[in-house]
Amino acid sequence: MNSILKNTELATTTSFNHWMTDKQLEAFGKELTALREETLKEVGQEDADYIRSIIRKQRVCEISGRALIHFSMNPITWLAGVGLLSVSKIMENMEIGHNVMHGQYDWMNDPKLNSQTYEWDTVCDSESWRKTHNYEHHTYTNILGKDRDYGYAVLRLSDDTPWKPRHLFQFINYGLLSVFFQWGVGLHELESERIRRGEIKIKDKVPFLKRIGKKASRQVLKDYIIFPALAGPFALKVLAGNAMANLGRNLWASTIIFCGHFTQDAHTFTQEECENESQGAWYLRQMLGSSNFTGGRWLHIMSGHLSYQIEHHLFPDIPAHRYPKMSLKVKEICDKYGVPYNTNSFGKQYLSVLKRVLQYSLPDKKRPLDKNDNSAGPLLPS
Amino acid sequence: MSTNFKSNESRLMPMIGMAWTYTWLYKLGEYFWQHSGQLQDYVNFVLCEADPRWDQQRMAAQIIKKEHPTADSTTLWLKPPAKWQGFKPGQYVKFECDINGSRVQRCYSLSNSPADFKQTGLISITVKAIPSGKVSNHVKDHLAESELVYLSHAQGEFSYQVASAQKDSTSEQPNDLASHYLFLAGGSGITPIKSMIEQLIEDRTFNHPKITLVYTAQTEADAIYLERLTSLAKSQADFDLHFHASQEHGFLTAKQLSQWIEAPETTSAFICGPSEFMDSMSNGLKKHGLSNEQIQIERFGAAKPAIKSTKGKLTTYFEPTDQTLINKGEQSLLEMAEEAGLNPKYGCRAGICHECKCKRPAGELIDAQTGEAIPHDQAHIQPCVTYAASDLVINEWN
Ligand code: FES
Repeated sequence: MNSILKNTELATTTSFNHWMTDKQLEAFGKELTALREETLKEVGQEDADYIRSIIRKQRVCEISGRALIHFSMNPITWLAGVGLLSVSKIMENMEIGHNVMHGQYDWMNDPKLNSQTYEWDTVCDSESWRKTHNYEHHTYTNILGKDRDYGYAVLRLSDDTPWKPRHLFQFINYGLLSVFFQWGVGLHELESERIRRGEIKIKDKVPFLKRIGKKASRQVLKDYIIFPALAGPFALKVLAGNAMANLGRNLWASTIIFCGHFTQDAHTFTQEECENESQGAWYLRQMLGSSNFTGGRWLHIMSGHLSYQIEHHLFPDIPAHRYPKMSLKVKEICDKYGVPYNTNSFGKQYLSVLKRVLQYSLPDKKRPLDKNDNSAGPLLPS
Repeated sequence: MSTNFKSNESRLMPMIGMAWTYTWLYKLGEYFWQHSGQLQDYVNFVLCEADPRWDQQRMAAQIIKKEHPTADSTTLWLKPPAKWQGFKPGQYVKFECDINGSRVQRCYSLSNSPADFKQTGLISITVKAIPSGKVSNHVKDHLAESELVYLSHAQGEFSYQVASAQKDSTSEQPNDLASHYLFLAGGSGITPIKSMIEQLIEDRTFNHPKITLVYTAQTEADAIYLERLTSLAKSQADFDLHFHASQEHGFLTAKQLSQWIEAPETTSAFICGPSEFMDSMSNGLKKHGLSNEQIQIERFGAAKPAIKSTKGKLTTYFEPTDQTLINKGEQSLLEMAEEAGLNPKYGCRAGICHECKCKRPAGELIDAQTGEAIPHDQAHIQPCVTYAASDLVINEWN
């Protein structure tokens, strides 16, 4: 079956039946659901201890990082402070905030770790994120036109978007998006591309703008006004340190997230083929649309276990530190049903993201065609 | 308890509490922070790292002593933090501990008297282990001395007016006029009553009511505090104790009550125990001439609204809006709520996004994804993938 899947010809049809029959799809879905149930039964004290220990580490990093930035007398201690604050922000956004807001720890019944009330250390308002990410992105993963995370409305990452000369410079856009990533994520719900196209009016977005304005202004106040002001004559040093830490976090988060869905082999889907999708097909789509990367334990923690993007998309509400163990079984199931399991080293996956961004900046005819390129996914023949 | 725990009280704690609540700098920081609560979290984190008892967000109480007054019950002697506001005899606390990583809460009556608390700085709760009871068995088998648990302030109306020298004698509270306090305790319902009796005896310098306790349990061995109460009754002239072993003599009947009611007009009655016991006792008292105002009953948890299922159909009661809906077959809770016009939040409607949420104080639910019943202590319910399996009470919509 593996050989069939490599065939790009077949991948351009509209039905999941080219991956497996309905019957197989059903059995495939059942196996994954069984894995989910099995894991859920184990969830308990170990997971509570895990997330609390991560929170503890993150807080120690943040407090010591800020203290170092504040009281450093030389560039080395200042840089160490910036590093620690970056690490703390990354841990808070990725392993804590992202996972808590997916409801992974709701069962703990701890109001501080509740998906509906958690507020994270980024410009993005958590309520807005739950809508755009938890709901839109996780329900409609990589469905062109429905998953707005696909290219974040700035990048052309598949043939679906007709080529325009401005795409030639999309590499610069990608760089800018990474640098200001938290703002991009924060303003995602604005749907500026639809406003530009006249599909919606800015008026409809006033409640959202109010919310994001409140959240963003508090973030700016905290990092760029209050903490610097507390340092008195050394305000500039603190301001620069905080800006650097935010930049570090932005670049990191953007890189991790791009590696999760925009590698060369990550598939896209059309709205038609996802209508009335069965549970098995839903799982299959999540799998084909995501990609993992390998690495050490801390790389996984710092990426919020989004290095296990496939498992995360299959089981978004299971405590993420369980993905490494679950992945063994997931891989097994993939092999059994001949579904590709997209994984590679962090470096290779990242290179393949860069390649994809570059490739699609060129018009179709100029685009060097890769034989194994599945990125166009099962698109409708145009 | 002989040791005085009040004297070792840290002076630092109240100071931290003050700074916590009143500092303008703190208030300002909180206002400008990304989300109210975040600054507190960090300050609290540092405090808890120093000493977990300094928790300013929850009231941590340390278990000082653990006893087993009967085979299946446990008494915990707890040292609440300085900011804990004390209690009236008969009141209860919300008691919180972690079981397998998840926080659970139950209400337990305080069983020692406020006077005892004043003296020792300790409070006690007594928990009877119910078969398959999650918290009661955890208290019995796992909680150990020096561990921390978490409390609320004392709550509840089940108490008499504390008689004191300063008390205005013209007060019109019926309880103040009582010259006879009649306590009816069934099983572990003795805990708040023990606290009241001990305090009444303590307060006798100001007031001299007669105290009668009718205490019923299956056997003498099951009766918590029986020894202590018997010795109290022996030493106190106006305190009569009648123990009734139901295994031997059958359940206490309303008729039997008559022997303890001398002057119905000046009697104040307090009943605590299983709900059938409380119902039959209060009916009995009313037959013997006591008015509703003279009878106090302690029911734990809100009284469940009566929902009746009609002809095999299931009824769901939505608490805050006071609406009842008849379930029409396969319908998720989310759909029912929408039909009831509740406008609940939702996203995927498929159990993925956790945008939908509600609580279920009563009734049985089925998880649509697994087809299995949802355990009663599950903290998070996703109404979009949940079906009713019995009559229900639902509240706290997202
Ligand atoms: S609506 Fe998404 S989990 Fe219920």
